[in-house]
Amino acid sequence: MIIKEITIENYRSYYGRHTIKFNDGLVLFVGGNGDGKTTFFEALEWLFDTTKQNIDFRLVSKKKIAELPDFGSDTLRVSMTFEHDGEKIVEKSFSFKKNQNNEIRTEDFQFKGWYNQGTERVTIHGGKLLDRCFEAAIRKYCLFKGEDNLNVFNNPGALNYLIETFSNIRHFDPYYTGDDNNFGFTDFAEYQSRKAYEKAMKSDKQNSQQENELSSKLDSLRTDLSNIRQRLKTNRENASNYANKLNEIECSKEASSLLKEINERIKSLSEKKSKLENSVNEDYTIKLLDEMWILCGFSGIFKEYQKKVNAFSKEKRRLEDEDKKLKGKQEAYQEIRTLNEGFIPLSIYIPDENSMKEMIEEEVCKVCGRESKRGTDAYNFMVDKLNELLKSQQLTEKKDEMLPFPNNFSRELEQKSISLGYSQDELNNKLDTIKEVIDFNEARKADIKKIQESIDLETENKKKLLAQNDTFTEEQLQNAYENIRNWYDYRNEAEKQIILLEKDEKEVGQELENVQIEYNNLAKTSVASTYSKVYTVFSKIQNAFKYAKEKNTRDFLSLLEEKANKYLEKLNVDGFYGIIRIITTPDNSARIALQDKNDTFVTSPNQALRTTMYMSVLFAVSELTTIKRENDYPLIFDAPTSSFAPQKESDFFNVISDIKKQCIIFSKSFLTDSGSLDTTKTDLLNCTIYRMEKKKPFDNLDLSTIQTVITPIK
Amino acid sequence: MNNKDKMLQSVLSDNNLSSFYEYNAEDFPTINDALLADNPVVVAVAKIINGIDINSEKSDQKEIYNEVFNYLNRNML
Repeated sequence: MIIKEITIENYRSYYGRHTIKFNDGLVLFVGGNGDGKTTFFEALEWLFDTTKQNIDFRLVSKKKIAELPDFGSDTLRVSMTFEHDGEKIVEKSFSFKKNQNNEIRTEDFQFKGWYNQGTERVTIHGGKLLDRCFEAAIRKYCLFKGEDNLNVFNNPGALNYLIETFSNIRHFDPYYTGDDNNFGFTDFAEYQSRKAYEKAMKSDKQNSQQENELSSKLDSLRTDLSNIRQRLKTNRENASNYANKLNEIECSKEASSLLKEINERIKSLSEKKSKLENSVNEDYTIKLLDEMWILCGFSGIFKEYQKKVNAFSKEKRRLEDEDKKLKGKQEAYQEIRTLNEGFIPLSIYIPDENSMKEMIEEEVCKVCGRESKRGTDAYNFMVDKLNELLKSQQLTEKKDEMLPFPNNFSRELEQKSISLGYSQDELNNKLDTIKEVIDFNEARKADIKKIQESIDLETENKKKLLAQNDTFTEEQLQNAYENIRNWYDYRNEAEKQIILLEKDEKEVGQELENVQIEYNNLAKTSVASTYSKVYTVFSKIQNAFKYAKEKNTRDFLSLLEEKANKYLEKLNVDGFYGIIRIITTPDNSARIALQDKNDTFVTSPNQALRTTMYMSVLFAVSELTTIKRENDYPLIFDAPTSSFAPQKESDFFNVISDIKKQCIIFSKSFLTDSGSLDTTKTDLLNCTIYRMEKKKPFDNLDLSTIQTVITPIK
Repeated sequence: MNNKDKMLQSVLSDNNLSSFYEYNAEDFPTINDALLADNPVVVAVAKIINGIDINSEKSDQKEIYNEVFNYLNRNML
């Protein structure tokens, strides 16, 4: 949308009809105080308001009212011709009439619009046409009154509004909201598929007991997680609210050199404290074993240990000797027996136990094929042979049990005794080291404590200073101080809670994941296996939508930041300007901040730098709007450069005139001390300039003599 | 590339989803490509994006859910 022409008729100081032509670059209106700059701006605001019929008689030119004869009537009108896919017009008007009591009655409110369709001119309601071509969401980022209102993030909902209006985030809403009370599709699908999966699991009687346990555990963990997240959200909002309140107060006192000094002292003390904290190393538990500090406290016990290990070792060697002797005797006996019999007997296991028992029972030797009746030598030989076999089996088992030291425990004890064999000197050295480390840490901790006391003291002073106000009584001052102290406490408490809750969220989330895996494993062997897979797909798709939505927001903000920084560089030709950062907070609000290239925040930029910073963001928003809507929109500012030095103003307007964008700026720049236009400066500007001034003569005390005239300068 | 194709890309690009179900998001630049994919999860995402209209009623959710659920039920191995 490009404004081509604006007509103002009988609107406050605009007596009669004034028609102003616009081009699509910078249009500058220059006028002093009370010359009608803000009135022009407000006339546009009145025209663009599509929400209500404002026909307040106070909008009517006092001069016109004064000149109106009894029962005479006239019209107040503001109209705009603009280009937006063809030429269009919107016009708002009402008529006013003077009655017999000299009172002004207003009536006949009209809000009309016209556009061309082929060769035909179509009439439409002006509000509808305006909302179609220059909707409220866009208008919010196009009109700015004064230097203090340039911050687009000046209220908590501003970031969300900006993102929802100009990014594609709204497109995600039908798919994912993450809101239990307003499901997007993937929220709905995840919920439904989970219910179907759980139902299928419950119908499988095979695992019903385990299923019951796991599903009730899952329900309980989900409830816990939801509660933790809710509390986390509340605490994050609280921390952010109180931090913002404190930040606001601090900004309002930024001029105070006392506050600057306190802040510098707190910063320096905090840095010192942080360095000392880093130098304290109290990982004593690790050193107990890694560096064997533990021995220092147990030298007596260690000696006893060494004594016992020696005794065990000696006893072990004695038993091993005896065992060897016993084995030697048995082997010798076997050898002698073999020599006496003159032949090598069969193995004791031939015939086997069962065959032997069978032969004894049947009284037959099946080795030589002869009868061996009970009581005969042959029979007795078989019985002896069986007994010998049974005995040998028992002996073998016993032999295995009797192995004296099947494990290496005593050897390990000996090795440990040797490796831990520190001398008393070495232990004394260790004791000295421990003492040194502990003394060092304690000294640092004492220093940290002292610094913390100083920080607390400075913080208290800061709170008192922030509470100060020249207009406060002592009681009010005390109340303000109490408030600030409470805000500090609330913020600190909320921040502490956030740390704890984040830890809980992580732990419960992990546990939930583990139980879900257990539950899914149970499903693998049941009829619910496919339901489990389908649920997993829906759950993962839901997460993918969630991350895509978050990424969309991040991408939008980083694009905004990138574009804003390009404008900031252009608007600050000389001197420091820094880097714009859009900092989002957990409660989804945002603030604009300046950083230098070392990531140090510029806490108190001067007003001119602050203004160019906010304007850069506005230009960036406007550029994104143009891309998003495939249409351009004007930016209209009333007195945005009040804090600029004259040279900076000239540079600023030159830069704006080079930006390919329709900018309409009302300013009192380029006026000399006597109030006339400084043409040596305006000649250097490459833009359209109008001069606004009060028509002379006028009566300083009579509003009905005030009339604005607008003269084109270039 | 229209808005639905852009959304398809941003959802399929999710590392967790693409590594778990083993597909390459760049192989499916449009909804039509994704609807013809062999990977049932890619098809499911395309069906969801294609089926849900920005201005659709909540009641449509059930219908699309049933369609995608049945599709996955038949095709998830």
